[in-house]
Amino acid sequence: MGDPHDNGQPLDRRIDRRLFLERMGMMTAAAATGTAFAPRSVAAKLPVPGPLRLPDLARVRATEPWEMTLAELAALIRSRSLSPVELLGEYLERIRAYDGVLKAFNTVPAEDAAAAARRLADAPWTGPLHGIPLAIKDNYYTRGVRTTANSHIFAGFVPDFDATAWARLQAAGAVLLGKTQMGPLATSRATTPDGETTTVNAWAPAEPSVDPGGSSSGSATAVAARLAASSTGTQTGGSITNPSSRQGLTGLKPTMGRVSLYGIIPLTYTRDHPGPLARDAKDAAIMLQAMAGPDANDPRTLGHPPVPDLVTAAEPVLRGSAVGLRWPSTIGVLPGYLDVPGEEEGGFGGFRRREETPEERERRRSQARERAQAEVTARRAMLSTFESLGARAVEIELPQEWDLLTGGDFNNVRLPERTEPFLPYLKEDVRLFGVSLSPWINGLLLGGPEYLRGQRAKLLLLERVLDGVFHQCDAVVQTAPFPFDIIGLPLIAFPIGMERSRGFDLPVAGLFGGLPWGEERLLSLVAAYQAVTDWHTRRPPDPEVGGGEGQAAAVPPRRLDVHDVMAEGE
Amino acid sequence: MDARSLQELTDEELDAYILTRLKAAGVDLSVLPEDDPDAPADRRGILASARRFLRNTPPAILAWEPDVQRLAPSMYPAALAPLLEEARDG
Repeated sequence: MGDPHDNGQPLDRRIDRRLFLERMGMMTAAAATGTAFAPRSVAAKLPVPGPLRLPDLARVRATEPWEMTLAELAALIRSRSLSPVELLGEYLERIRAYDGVLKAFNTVPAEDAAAAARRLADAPWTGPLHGIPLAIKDNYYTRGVRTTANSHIFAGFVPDFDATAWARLQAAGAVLLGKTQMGPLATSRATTPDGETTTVNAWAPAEPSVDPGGSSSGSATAVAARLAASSTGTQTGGSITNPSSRQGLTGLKPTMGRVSLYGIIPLTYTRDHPGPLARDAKDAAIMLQAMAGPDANDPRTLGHPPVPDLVTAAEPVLRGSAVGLRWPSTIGVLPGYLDVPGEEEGGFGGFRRREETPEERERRRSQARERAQAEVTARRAMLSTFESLGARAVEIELPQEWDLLTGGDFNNVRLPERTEPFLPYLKEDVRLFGVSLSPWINGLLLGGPEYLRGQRAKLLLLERVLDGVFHQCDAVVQTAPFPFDIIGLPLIAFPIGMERSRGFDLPVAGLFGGLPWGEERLLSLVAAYQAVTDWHTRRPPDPEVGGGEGQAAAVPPRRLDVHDVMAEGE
Repeated sequence: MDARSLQELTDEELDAYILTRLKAAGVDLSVLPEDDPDAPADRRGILASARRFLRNTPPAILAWEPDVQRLAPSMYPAALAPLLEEARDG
């Protein structure tokens, strides 16, 4: 293993990537113990916080506190120009005003948050998260605060310890602002356990059929609508990067094992990843720096190289008088990435069109074509911007059997992993799974030989990505979370444009995949891009308030069915 | 059961297979409504999804024939990485 403190190259090119392959190539009994349910207390070892260059105070003071990034808030709190108590009050006021429409939160423990903010207001400044209220996905255990995963199974569940990732954020000074709505058990967009939609997209709050992205829907909506400065999510099949993409955020799914899953309600043991949804690359770095590191309670986190200085990696650098890349980087472009795809049956996601007239069908297809065109235009501009920053963009060849190994059937190999820890609940009453039941049943039907063969396929896919794709580039554009979620490699989503659709301005996103432990490089690339673009600074207008007494008008819910749930992210 | 035969079985045969497997695992679908599109889940929808899954996923996976000598059937990630590093260093 290379010296992780070597400043010449980012960690992704200093580590023997064979180590990552070998990690994957070993079967262990420990990996199958399902320790996520074990009721042990957390003894979190804090990561070393990275340095933080704080923004100019005079500029920051001209902004409303709820509009500020984590880094900006940190500058004010450190200088005692803003009190954690005042900041919390600002967010609580916005939640009171707008969450009736947005439905980003399940629980807002205002009194506990106020007590924590008062305590931190009098304490010495400990780092960029000191006194910052955060939105935490409702599958993270929060001691003494309801943790439901939007499921009947966990209705009323109040953990007696904190998830390690949340414990680390608290140790860095964060305050629990609230628990965010999510797809039941981390499948689909946020709904009630029985499938009625809850959270809406902050960019189109009056139209529930505009998908907010799932399953970390509330985490994305809270940050996009400026009800929180940053949030946490989990990703098994796009659940951080998809909602980030749909709501103009910078979402980072780290390398498998970078962040502990201990105390997070599991979905798929080999594919669950906790990570941040943030306003920009620097904020994502601040969050991940606090969350990441080894945890004796989660064997997946052990044996990795030390967490590097992610916050510095997310600082833009000057090359002469212009912003440039921190490290020379080649960006791989997949075949077809810049082509407008054919007709898109999925429309805007979230709902199937069960019955539609020919006119409605044509209108939907036309909208899909326009959206695809807008995405391709934004992608071209994004790559051009990266080239102007000094990156090299190259077309890459896909490895052999790409479509097969990354396709739906091999992706289904994950299903027994979700069924196994939940078997007691399946036996108790399948109705506990509400609208999400089907994949848990299907997981029971996959045989041992198929499961094991699927594991061989994952190893081969990882080999081919490392030796094939990353032989040609340092980061690769992606259009979907697969296969990086399958093989545990990092992904970052970030806004690269806007498109007008059905009367709403909706964000368009880029998605980069990286090498094992490549968060540094991904953050550095996005930070450079964000230093010369302003897509990440745009925010949706506040929802219209129409309910009287300061409450926003409620949006009528819709219902997802089993087909919608099967088609959604997780 | 031959993988290809899964595609050839009738809906009734597959349903019997599915329900037997579920029963063996102690899972009971009879608590669900038989056919209710307004319910969060019904037997008809769950069984239809399970049949699609069985007709597609297992045959596709078993049709792929990897080099079993070279590719470990590994879960991921390995918790033995620290021991591996120790072995390398030692």
